[in-house]
Amino acid sequence: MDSPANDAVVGVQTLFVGHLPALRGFVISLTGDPGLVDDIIQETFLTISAKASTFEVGTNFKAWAWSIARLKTLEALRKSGKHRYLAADVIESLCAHEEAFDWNEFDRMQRHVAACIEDLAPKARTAVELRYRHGHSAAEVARRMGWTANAIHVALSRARKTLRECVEKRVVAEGPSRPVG
Amino acid sequence: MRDDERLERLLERHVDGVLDDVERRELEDMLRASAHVRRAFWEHAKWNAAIRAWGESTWGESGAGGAGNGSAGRSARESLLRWLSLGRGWRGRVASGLALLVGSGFMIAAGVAWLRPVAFQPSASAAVFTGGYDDRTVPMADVAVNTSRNMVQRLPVTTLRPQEETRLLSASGAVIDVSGNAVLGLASPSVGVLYSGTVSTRSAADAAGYSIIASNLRIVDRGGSFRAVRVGDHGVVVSVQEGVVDVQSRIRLPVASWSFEAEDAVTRRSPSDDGGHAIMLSAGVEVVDGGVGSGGLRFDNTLDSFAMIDRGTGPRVGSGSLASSVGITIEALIRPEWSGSKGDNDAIYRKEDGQYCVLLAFQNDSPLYDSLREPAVEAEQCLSFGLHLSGYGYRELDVPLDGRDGRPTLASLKDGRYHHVAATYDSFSGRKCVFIDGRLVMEWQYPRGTIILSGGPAPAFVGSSAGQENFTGVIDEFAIYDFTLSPAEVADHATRARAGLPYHDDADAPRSRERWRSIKRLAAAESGVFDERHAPGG
Repeated sequence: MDSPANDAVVGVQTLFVGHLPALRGFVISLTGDPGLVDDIIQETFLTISAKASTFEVGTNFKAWAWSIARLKTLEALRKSGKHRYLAADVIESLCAHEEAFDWNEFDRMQRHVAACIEDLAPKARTAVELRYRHGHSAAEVARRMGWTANAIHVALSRARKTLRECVEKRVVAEGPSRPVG
Repeated sequence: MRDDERLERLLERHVDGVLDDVERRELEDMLRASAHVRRAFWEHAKWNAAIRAWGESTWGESGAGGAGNGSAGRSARESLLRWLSLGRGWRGRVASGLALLVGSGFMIAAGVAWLRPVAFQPSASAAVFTGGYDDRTVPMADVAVNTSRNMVQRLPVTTLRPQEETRLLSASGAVIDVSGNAVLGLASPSVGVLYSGTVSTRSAADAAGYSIIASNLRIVDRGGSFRAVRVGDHGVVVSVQEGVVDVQSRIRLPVASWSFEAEDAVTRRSPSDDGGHAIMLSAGVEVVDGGVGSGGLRFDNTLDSFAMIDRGTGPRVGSGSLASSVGITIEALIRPEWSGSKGDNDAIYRKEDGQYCVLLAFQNDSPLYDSLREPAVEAEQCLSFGLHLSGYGYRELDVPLDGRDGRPTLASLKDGRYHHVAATYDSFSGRKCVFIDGRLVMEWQYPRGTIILSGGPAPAFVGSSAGQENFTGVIDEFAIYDFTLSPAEVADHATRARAGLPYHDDADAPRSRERWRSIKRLAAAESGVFDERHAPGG
């Protein structure tokens, strides 16, 4: 299993797995369809495996993988033929702002999110946990907590704002980030 | 509603996949018209993804199977990147309560050992635990990814029987090659359980790494690569290619235990863990003379009579120190006064993580639950041992209290004396057993390698099922293990209890939370053969 060519494949596959949370977030944001995400991720994985030898170690893996994921997303949306997705021109213009989706920043955010969630007020934390850990829709969270849907939207929005402020404070305290893959 | 609030609402509905056509057109128009909105889209997406990633990846206190190498929190990705920076080729190093108690405010501060009278109500969790039983599906974490055949197959806690050579990438950052004849339990992101065949693992020196468990043995990768091969019925050959490997022996002590001595009730935490699994008593529980020592807990069958363990939970199946995957033992000394009436169930222990429940209880259930019985028995009054086994679902081994085939009757258990009960399951043998007074009274056989799915956010209760099905009588010397006591050990504990002695000589000594001790360190090019049953120091 350990020929140089195979090493390259395993190398990019391993990086791919490490980037999966962010990549899934990227794809789900574009499609708004959790059911489509796994197929797109699978296709992206196949492509990066096939093109592993063209990836240069030390270059930006994220940019490479994201561009493939973007293409696979557009391809999947076209193939689906459904009109429930965002229009292709909108997705293209969104991808032009891809730099906003900075991996380094995402990684740093992830490192602090858990601690910041612990600091949320109890009810906000419950809403966040039901929404993001248990994967319930906002409507289901509202039902379970006995709140109105509007109250849940407001609570989640405030929780994200609080989290953002908390994480940003921690990131600033941590100092500048190191450039990574 | 302000524009930014409207945008956020639309984005939230977009990510949920529930936008209607009008909303979709509105969102598209907003995104086309403004770069500011497109930036806001990505800001929202980024936070959404970061919080989702937290929700999907958090593992919890200590992981299943006795936890990993103490480095589960390390970023696998960082390690993988370091590996890549070393260049290609494997010659270098390879890369890589009710927490949610669902009701919050319900969790007791870590520093509180015992709390009387109890200051919480079970109904505090009603927002999620609707109805008498909790049949939620507790979330499963991905512990590895199968990349063979160029697939991305996400794998939760499960047993893998690959049939062909298979490569996994663990969530802890290790590369794991599994032989085609292997049976490998994936217990947590950093722990595999080798039932048969061969496994090779490689991880970077500073990665979270990977451990392999084989019954009483644990092989801990300290950065490098090693191979573990099952030989014969109980042998394991460990060969180190790179780095250092620590071969460890299981410390055969409980994860948590209580003797319920009177003074414990006021001043002491459980000695089973340096963090302490404190147990909290509701107002309806009385500390009385026990079967061993001076204390036991008397439950009066009312809703206000229960004891809750304040630790051991985790966010997902397989997480938390009270999760077990490779084996489990629950034992207690009981003096039951159960009515035996239809519908009056008396729990000895129950951790109600939805479908992944663990229970030991007297039950006289409705026939509606007969399908859960394995084996099928026709009996009303039973001592029931329930577990969720991978591939089988939740099943109960029900011991009829009918006086036949060496089994006791309910009347004989209600003779006013203390009786030792123990329930064990061992994934290495597949045997699920119930013992009463040290004797095996019933067992059932599952395939070797069938692992337990347990653990999660629900708190564990002694003498109750989350405030219901409350015990009647006295429970003493309660202990729970994340491995299987042998029949001889169970018999020994029953004998000791009858003699008024605790199960373990050092029962009152402060106990380390370590579950394993090192028995041999192997360096590169070294190898050794170990017997999983009789590991030195075990």
